[in-house]
Amino acid sequence: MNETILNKLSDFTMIFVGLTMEAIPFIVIGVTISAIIAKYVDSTWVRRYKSKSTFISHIQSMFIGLFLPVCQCGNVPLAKRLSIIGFKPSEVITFMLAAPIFNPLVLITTLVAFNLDSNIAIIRVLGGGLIALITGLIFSLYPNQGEFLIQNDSQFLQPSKEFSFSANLNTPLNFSISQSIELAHDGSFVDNWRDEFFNVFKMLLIGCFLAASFQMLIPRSLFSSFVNSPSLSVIALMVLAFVVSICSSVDAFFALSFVGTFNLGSILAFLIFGPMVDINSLMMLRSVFKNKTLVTMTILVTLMSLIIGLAVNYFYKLNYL
Amino acid sequence: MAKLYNYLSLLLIAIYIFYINNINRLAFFIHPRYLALALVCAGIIGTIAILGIFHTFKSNKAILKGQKKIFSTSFAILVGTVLIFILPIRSLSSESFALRSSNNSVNSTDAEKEKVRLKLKGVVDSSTFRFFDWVSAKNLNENGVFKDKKFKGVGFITAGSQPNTFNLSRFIVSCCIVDATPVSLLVEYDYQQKFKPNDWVEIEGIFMIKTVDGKNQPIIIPASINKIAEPDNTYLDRT
Repeated sequence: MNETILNKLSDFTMIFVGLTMEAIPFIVIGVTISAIIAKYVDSTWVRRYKSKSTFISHIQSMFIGLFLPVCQCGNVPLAKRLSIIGFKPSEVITFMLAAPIFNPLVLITTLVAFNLDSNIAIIRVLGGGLIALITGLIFSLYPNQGEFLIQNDSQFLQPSKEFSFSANLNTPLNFSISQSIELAHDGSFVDNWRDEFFNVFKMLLIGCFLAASFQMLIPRSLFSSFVNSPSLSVIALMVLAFVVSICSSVDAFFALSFVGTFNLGSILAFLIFGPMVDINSLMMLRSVFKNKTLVTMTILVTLMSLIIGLAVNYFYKLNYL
Repeated sequence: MAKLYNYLSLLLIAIYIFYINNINRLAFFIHPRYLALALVCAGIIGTIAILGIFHTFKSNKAILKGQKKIFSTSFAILVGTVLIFILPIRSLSSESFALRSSNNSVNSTDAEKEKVRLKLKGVVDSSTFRFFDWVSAKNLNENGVFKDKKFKGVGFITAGSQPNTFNLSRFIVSCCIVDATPVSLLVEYDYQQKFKPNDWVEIEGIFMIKTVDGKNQPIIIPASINKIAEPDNTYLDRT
């Protein structure tokens, strides 16, 4: 084999492993939070605190991400868990789309990357929140929302009875040391954790394989060739966001490398669209939602992100910095 | 058996993360600021795996029905992880450099530009400047700041546009290998006699302003070029 092919194979392996390495910590956090929720929270708790109003319950779902510091990878097990404990699929979709942007870590890195310029962070949060809310509300119009989900007979889908919250909602959600030890020594917790991890991880591997392949096939200069077009540049960076599948907690630093070359609308489209839809997260979401649901969701998010990017370019200002 | 394979796969993943950290190669995949998080998570994975193996034996229910899919997945992970253990870990090559190349410079913010400008202003000995400083300085579009400045740095070789030039190249990483962005400094030297692309070299020299590819640009005139082993920190840190 000649050196070029060997180098390409080596780079592919490095990118594949790198993508996996990057995602593993967030999946571990997501799976652990999800497994803890499975132990301690049941549907009565959700019924009490979740609004009966469709609109308000979607807004509540949108803000859950503020309290769960996970990116799009860690959200998948959580999305699954929320659907089990009583959130409607449309609310889960709103959570899943908003959480990677509403995550406090993402907000901080966006501010830091752009020299504390709050405009970028504000438009990112408002745009992302709006898309998540509208998408969820559109899905909520469908009467039989159960059809959005994949039927999974895995053990972890069953919330634990012995540890779940009772209807006494004054019980605070806290863990004593003895409870934690009990949790760690409880075989079902470990099994649930393993089931959830592998459910997401196998899809992650496929996603990483595809993302690494695209990165080795598509030259970045292809995206740069659209830099002068206010509309094509938005599409170009959205495609790039889809392909690179970068974690939302650090994508602002990556987007920073486009400043001065790409216009503001395309950078914002990258920052809004990327955390919601990319190869990796779509592959992992296949363990929760049916393909039809994901296709519809992707189309809606793509169109709305495009509109935001174009609106910024045409009505705000074309160049940043 | 499927359950046991699952836990063994988890254990292998944890061991792999600890192993590559131990040989200083974890930073080849992720930014150093995430090393601690990756290690903590590897610890959690390892703990879960050990507890799982313990419970599997204890409950004597290792053979479970209806878990063929999980068996095949974990088997694939086992084989994959073993393969990854065997494969050499090295930084991205000139192939990725070419695929990701655009202007091979850093898009600096105004604050970063000012920092570099101040750093360069009136400096006599610039040999302690970082590679990142020089690529940031390219962004100032002021060739004068480079003139006659001393350069000392390491990077890998990628082909230049002229036969007597090459790019001293590095990748900047913000998060992980996925966002690795190529940057380079031009060197005037016919490298093909002694070196080949992807070789890591240490260069000492001086910057001159010359016309290359029809435009005036800073170029390093080397006083010495030595081949070195690939360093542990191959990627540049922006922050």
